[in-house]
Amino acid sequence: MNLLLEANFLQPLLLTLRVAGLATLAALVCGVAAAYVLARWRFPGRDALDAVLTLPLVMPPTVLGYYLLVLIGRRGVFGQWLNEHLGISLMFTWQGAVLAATVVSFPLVFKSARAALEGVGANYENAARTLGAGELEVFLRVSLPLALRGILAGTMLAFARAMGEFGATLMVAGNLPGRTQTLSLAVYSAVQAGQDSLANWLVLVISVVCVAILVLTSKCVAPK
Amino acid sequence: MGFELDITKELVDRRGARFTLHSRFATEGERLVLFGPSGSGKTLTLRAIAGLMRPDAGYIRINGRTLFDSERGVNLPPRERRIGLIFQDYALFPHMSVRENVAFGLKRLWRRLGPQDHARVEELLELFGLAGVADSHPGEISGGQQQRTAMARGMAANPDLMLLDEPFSALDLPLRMRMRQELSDTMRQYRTPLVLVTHDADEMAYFADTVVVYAHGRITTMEEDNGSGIDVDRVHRAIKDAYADAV
Repeated sequence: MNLLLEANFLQPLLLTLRVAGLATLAALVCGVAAAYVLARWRFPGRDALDAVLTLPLVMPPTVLGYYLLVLIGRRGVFGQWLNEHLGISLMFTWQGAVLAATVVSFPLVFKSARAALEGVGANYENAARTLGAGELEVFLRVSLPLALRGILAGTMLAFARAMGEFGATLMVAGNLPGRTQTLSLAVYSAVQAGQDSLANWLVLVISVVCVAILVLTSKCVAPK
Repeated sequence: MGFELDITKELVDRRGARFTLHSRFATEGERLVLFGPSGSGKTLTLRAIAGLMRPDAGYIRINGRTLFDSERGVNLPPRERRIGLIFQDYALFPHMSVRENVAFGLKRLWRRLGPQDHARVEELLELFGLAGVADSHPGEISGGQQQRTAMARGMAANPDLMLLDEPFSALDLPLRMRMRQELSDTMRQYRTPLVLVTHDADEMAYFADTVVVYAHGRITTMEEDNGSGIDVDRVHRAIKDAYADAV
């Protein structure tokens, strides 16, 4: 029974947390960096870039997954290079699942970070500059702390989105129990196999985690 | 203070209206007031001195030190200009205490405050009467205390020159009079030259040993105090003449 519990339940949960955690971290770093560039500088193609970076939010995850296949698949543009030069293949690995979850949750961080950074009054940043701060210092000591709440809210949502990621993950990493089967994939498999009580438990776990994240998010965003 | 400035800047606003700033003056005055109605170019000039606005052409020199010179390709970033700026809304960092605000310019990313810096911060807090609210955040203190915090923060790094953008406009009248005197005394004590932007004639007369009068982005006249104070009437007449055909 214990072994069964571990294989059916603990493994997908731990894998999901690992995949979602790493994906959120990657989305956080990339999202804030992209938001900083778009909030700070005006350049031709800025609006187009914003649209492209937001695309994963509106596109069906399966379509995103297909794009990823084209990019990092065995015969993909980037995948071939990775395989030949570094001997890495992301297909059907949990790292591939991280990549899929990152792409899907990235816009949530990016959008909220951009809004938060643009909401930081220009005078605060200018005041820091006249007080001797360089651009990196202005960002780290003034802009980032003042935008932190918005960025945090976006990050929480990104984590929740990564936890529930299904379509793109399935396309890229497949549904291999013990290797790439995350909670949402496990639910699907359990239902397909007629294991109703397992599905119930899995659904309960996902629901609890998601509600907890939403409550935490609203706490972070609420004014003090 | 040897102050030489000659800058031009052309701005186009969202509705396509053109505004041309042409600021040019030289003075030895220690207390310079840029005077004129809103939208006449004085704040823009102040921002250019601080390095927050890049002029199209010209030069800015203070005590022989070139801050900006379009011909020689010099444009020091704000952090290298050693100029303090007090914003109209103070722009105190809301996520830092009064003490942290004052210490901001002394601290760097890779360097903690030394004992000397701590002493300097405490000295300024004491001098500006902020010792009692040093651990409060800007939102928790009065308007007068906010202004003192902004002053203390600007003075901490010992700037060569202090710029003040309508520093009293957010205060009510009795407080305004008191802060005016406080600020004036402190600046004298530290012997820091200042450039003050205002459209308030009392303030201008109180601070100035030199007045530069702005209208429509240009300087219409310059008045210097020759021992008997600024001739306020002449300043008013100059502004009236400049705007005579506007109404």
